Amino acid sequence: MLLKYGRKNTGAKGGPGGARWRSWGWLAALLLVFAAALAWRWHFAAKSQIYTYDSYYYLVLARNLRHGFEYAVAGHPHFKFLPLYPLSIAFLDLFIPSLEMAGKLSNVLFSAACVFPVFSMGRLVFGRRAGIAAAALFAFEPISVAWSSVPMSEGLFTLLACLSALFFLRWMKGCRRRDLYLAAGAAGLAAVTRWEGMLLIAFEGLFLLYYWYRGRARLEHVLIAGGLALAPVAVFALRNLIVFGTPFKSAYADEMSNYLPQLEMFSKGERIRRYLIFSDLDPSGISSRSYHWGYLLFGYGGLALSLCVRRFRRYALFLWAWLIFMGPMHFLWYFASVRFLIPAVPPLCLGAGALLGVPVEKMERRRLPAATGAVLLALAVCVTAALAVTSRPATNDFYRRNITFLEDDLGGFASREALLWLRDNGGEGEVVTNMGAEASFYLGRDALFLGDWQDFEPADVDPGRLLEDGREKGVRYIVIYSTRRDIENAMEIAGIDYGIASRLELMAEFYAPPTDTDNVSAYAFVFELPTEE
Amino acid sequence: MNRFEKALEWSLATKTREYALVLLLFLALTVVFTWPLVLHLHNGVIGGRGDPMLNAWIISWDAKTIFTNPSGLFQGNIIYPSRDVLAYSEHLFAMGILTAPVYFISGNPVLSYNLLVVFAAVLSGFGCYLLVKELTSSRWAGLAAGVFFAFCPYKLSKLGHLHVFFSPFLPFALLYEYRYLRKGGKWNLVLFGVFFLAQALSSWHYLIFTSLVVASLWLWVAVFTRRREGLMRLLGIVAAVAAAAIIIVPFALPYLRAHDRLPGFERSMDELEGYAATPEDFLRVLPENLVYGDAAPPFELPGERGESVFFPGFVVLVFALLGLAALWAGRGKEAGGGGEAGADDAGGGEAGAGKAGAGKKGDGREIFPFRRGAAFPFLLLLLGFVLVLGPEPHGISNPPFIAMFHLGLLKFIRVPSRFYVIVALALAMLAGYGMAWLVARLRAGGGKRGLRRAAPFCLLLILVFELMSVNFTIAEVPVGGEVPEVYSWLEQQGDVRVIELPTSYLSPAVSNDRDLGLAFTDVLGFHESEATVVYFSTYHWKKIVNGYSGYFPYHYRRTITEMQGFPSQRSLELLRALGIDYVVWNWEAVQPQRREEFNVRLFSVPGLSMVEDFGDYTVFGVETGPVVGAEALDVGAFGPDTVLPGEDFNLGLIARNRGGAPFISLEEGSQRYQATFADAEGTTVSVQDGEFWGPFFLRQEEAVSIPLCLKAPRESGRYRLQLALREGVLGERSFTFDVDVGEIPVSTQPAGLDGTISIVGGETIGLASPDGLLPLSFEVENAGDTLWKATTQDKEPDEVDVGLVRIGVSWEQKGVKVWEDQRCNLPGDIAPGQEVTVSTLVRPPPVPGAFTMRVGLVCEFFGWFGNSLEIEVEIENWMREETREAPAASGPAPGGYALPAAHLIEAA
Repeated sequence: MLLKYGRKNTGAKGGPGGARWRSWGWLAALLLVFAAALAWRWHFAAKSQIYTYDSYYYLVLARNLRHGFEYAVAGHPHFKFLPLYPLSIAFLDLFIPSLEMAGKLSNVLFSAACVFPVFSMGRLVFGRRAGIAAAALFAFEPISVAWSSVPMSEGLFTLLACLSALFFLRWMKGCRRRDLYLAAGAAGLAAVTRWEGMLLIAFEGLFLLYYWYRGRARLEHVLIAGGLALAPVAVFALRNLIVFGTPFKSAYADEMSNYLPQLEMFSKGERIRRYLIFSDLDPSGISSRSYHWGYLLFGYGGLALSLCVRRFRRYALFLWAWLIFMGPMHFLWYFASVRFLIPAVPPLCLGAGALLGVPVEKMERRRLPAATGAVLLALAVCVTAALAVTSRPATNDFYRRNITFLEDDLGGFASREALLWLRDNGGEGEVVTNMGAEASFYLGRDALFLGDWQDFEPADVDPGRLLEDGREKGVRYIVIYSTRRDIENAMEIAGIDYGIASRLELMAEFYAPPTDTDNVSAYAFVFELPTEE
Repeated sequence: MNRFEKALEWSLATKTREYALVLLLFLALTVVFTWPLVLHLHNGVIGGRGDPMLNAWIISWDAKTIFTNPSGLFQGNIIYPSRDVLAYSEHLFAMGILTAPVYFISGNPVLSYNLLVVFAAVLSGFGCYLLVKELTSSRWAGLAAGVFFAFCPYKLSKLGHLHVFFSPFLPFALLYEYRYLRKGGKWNLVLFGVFFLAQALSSWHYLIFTSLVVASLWLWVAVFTRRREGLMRLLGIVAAVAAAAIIIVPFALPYLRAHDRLPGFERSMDELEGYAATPEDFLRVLPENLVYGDAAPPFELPGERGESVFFPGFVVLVFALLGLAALWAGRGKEAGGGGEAGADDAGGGEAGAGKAGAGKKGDGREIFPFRRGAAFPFLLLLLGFVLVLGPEPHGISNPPFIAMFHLGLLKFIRVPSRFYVIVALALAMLAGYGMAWLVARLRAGGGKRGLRRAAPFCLLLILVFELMSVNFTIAEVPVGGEVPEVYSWLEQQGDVRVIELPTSYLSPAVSNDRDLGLAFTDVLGFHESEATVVYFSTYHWKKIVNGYSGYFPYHYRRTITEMQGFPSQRSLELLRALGIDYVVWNWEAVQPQRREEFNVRLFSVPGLSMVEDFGDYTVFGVETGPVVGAEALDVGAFGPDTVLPGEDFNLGLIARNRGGAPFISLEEGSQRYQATFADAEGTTVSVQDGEFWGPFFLRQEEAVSIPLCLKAPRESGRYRLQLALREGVLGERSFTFDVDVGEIPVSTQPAGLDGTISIVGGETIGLASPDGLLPLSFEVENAGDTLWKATTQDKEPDEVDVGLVRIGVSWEQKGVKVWEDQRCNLPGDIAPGQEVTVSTLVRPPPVPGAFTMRVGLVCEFFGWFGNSLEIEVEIENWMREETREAPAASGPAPGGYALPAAHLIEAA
């Protein structure tokens, strides 16, 4: 694809041979950008050791998929996280012995790989230099870099969204059915990676319907594309139907139906505003720093400018729609984390790339001396480099406030050490914890849930009936956590009556000091449940 | 062609429409780049309440005085009783004229000030647009240059310094100079003169900047001028500048008067060095900049280096480099860009970069090939760069800067970094050339119109986005009805003199009797509070003792220091002697723990009576009383018996007030003296002239010593020294000494230092209340074999005092060191065996209590020597019977009074 485009647009100087060399040069530049994206993301991923609740779910689901083809955690059929990302981790785990490494690497790889479709889209719409600028900007974009450091599905989802958008743009430009079907397929896969994939299908569907209405697409093509997009979702719905008796079983649906709007601290307008500036500042968000304003300025500036140029307008409308559907739509009902904005980053980078690349594109089309192009390229490189360099404080802040922040959460390092110790030193018998899927991951086997988890995972052991339920489920070990060396506090957090503490045997306790100024100490306690009174 | 394109073409069809459109564009950009100033045009300023408040006062004073009392322009109402106070800062005359209509209509100094900010930004951009468009024939180039010159990070960092930010006429002056040199035309010359004059009268900074820029172009053109017509035009420029100078010179006279009259009025080389650029400054970025504001390394935030935000952004650098390259590539051609005449689309018929060169217009009157002349911006860039480096970059002498300094051109510019304005202009011009070159190539060759239009617009947008800085902090200022009522009340009073108190706490002062450096514990707070008082004075225009400016005269520093003890009798006597009618007491400025104290003291002290109460402010009247003049002074002289041959030495005048009332002298000027050395045969071997500054304020029986500096004859021997005082504060007097000139150990390289000190008048002192300054006299005898060097009056404050002998004072309470270390100066050098009475001022702690003042002789940097005194000082409690104890090194004082933390020192 890359070489093909290269041949098409070049050849003014040096003949076909020269064009080929220039294409290889662009490929080298793109690979360099990819390498930079990979290295910069891995720089953060290598530092992260404690992950989000979701990460542990993905990892445990991946392990259970690979080793038993079971989409469940602790024997509970899963109905929150969608299966494609765990499947991809399981696939990578075939080649990488460590599941943890496979999980971390997957997100880094998928996120970094977005530079290829971003480049291709930029090149397709605005020109090669715009594409490379957009790709380079994506490589250093703060939110996606910070959130690539833990196993999360945003990387894969963004990659699929980019691929879908790329094929859709190609279809808009060339009207080749194959591109439309590929776009629909990628969108369908995105829909079984994160639920926002349905929004991707929706906005691409709207464009497709408009094109059909204007007579640029035939009805059967629209229907086939719709079928392709919905097929993966249908497969997953079928699984739900078989497992749960209903095709639409989803924790997210429960979450939304049970959501209490009065808990939301911001109005809809404020949530959309925060989305538009890519910020989740306190009090409801985590970050202490606004997004990198340079990205916003150049991104929105470029997208706005693209709307003003007739030849870019329809593509710019598509990019605007992408940006809005992947962001504000999410924020219409609640506001939580800046990571939800990652899928909206590529259109922003493409906007910035357009601004930097359009003058160059003009030069290229006129085939003027290389010196002129070099100057404009230098300009684009300087601005891109400046944005990349100045994005570091925001990246560091997002990482510190979102990832380092986890190192005392649910007992952080102390819980991890306790679980690893139990894995190596514990005997037979079930383990119950109030740490979610994290326990299953570090123990290497399923751990039972002490109390329900995140309002969707049912409790295996009721904390109020710890002894009774525990004996019934064959529980031998209990692992709980606290922020101080205080068993009563740990039991209070777990919902256990402190009165039964004397009937448990404390096997070990673990301490982890604060790892950051905003973090606190973490303690974990391992108890053994007596087999009989 | 769509509707937008049609509208654009219509807008650019005539110059009027084009200029209106460009002005609107720059106005819009000004709103964005200074956001949210536009929301606070009437009641807020950028840059805090210090300098902007002062400048608001200056332009209001100018506006008020120019049309009502032009001869009193420099006699501002602040820093009473000083004269020519407007000359302590920039006069901002042109700004005063510009803003006069707004000021007279609105009566709002803040609105006037902010409209000048907007005017400066819009016109700077527009002027640079016209200039670069003229040079390059490209509108896009003009826009790029205008945007950079108006909104470059350095200029935006100076939004609080109007006298640096205000550059609207500089590009116009250059434009018309260029036009006149290129094409002649009397209107071009007249307009050059007008704009040069307008910019030069905006501030002295811009007189220098504009002169340098104009002179650089003049010199550059002169190099290439051969024909008579060209020479005549060069002379025309000289004539215009000379005509402007005739108007400018009268504005310099008050500055020259102040320079003659006041010590330390001109900037020293050391002071300049501290504000010169460092290499790190070129990566310093504006915190408000949207791209660089987070300052990821290698970029840095200004911090303490707010004068040096030099990083211009990459885009302008690329454009400027391209401009240079284009010039280089086009060297030797008649018009390098002309061959690819890429007209600005909408304007039509304009050439690319460099087309503005000679001969292309075909008017036959071109006098120099501007292709070569266009290297001028590069040379201007170099000139600016050399000047921002200051006198000694990295310890290497900077001859151009030093030469200009010694020519007197830089002695009023404290901050060499401000020459960056020239760098900014040069960068803007070069970037314009680069932009023009690019646009010419983007325009040529056709292509789709959308892209053809979008490409240069993108380039401009990239430049704007990189420079974009918003969300400046706005300091809101009371205006109109929000101004405290007391000031409108003052406005109703007649010709009265006012002081507003209290002022901020002073930091420990090293020597209270001579160098009053006014070191405040909260310098910024002091500046802002004084500047706010100055600003509020625009609502009544009464003479006020308070002030804020680029120079603080001795009268001001002494009065503010004395007022630390207000309402002591001493401070009241000073106010009475100054003829102050009202004290405006601002309760908001009083430390909460001292409110009760002042509530009692202010209403009970004799000589002070409440006139009006306004809640947060109370106005007190000061009773009048007699004062005496210099005729009541008993003046003696003291000099060392022995001095080193050919070396400087100090002798001192000692003036004591023998009158029945306080003495005050409002004369700020110096008094001259003549010293004549005659040898044993009566032959005059040396005659020296010098000057000294007489005493300011002396209570009854209080004395002060005044140092004079002389140079001893080169030959050893005994000389008769006759000291004759010329006309001045102390009147004409003469004194005669015998002085031995010969080798003797000196305290700067001490060998056997020994001495005794005793206090005149007993070792127990009682004070009715904490007072500002306490006059004391000591008997001092040099009992060693070493000549004690005293300080000199004209010593710079920051000079090292190694080897100077002084009286040292420290304060203790129950064996614990409290308060501050102080120094008292000797009246002159003291030779072995000599004794002298030293009259000096010390500053007691500002809280009641029993203190021990430990006094001794100290040789600076070598240590204490001789005996020491322990003087008991009892500062009575104004509130209760029992005596309070001052705190030790930390913690609040008993009874709720606390020494300011910065005043506390570690326990002995």
